[in-house]
Amino acid sequence: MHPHRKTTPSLPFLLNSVDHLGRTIDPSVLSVAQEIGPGAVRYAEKVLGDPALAISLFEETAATVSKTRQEKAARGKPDVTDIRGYLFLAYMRRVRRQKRMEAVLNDPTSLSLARQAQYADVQDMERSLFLAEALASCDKVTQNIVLRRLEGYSWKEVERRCGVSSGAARERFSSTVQRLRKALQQSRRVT
Amino acid sequence: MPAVRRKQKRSARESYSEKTLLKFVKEHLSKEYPNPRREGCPSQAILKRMARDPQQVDASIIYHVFHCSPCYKTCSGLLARLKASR
Repeated sequence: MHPHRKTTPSLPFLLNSVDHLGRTIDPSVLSVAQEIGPGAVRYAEKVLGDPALAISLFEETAATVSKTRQEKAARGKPDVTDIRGYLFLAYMRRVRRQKRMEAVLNDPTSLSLARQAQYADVQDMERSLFLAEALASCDKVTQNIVLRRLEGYSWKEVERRCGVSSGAARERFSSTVQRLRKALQQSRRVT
Repeated sequence: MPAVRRKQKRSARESYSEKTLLKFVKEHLSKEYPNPRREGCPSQAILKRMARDPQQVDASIIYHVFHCSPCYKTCSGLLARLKASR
């Protein structure tokens, strides 16, 4: 028998509907921001070392995305199709920019090897975050398939456990692999 | 060499193989979410049920396993044992 593990509930991720510049965040952007926020802000905290700055940048990005959508609508241009991806990439770029600015402010004399090493760490973290984002956007069945394939299950075993045909499982898995590949390539492009 | 071929060749060189990707994912899931206080972790019984019969388990459990390294490791061990017992 395994004793019951005592668990503590995780704190909900709460975001203001207005950024620190007083710009409002559109409800549709806010709901997406609440979804991707915990992972993305956690990553930014690691990179920047300042939780307040990380959340503030996130709100700022969400407000900017809201503004961009409003401007597009006013000009009669097509709306952003993938708000989740758009917001996520915009935030990554903002965090990167902030990190670069910090490095220059702290060490204006220049780009030493130490700074390159720091960038390598940031790149590793970014790669992880892009992976997390790609995995989080999969549905329950696909996540179960991925979990089993990671342990080397055959397609027959996946079919028996996950309730989808091996063909469908293969298709879901290969589209997830494609998405992961794309996510990792995006992480390279952001840098 | 035409530009399109060059571009295709470059993108193939820059992309990751499936094996490498899965290695990244495995590493990522087992290291990136330490959760030392075990916040929100389901009981071992639920993880066992997830390993045996994933369709009977709520989506929030699998979501948690993908965001908690200790639970992922437990689940991975359970899945490996289950596979070996077949």
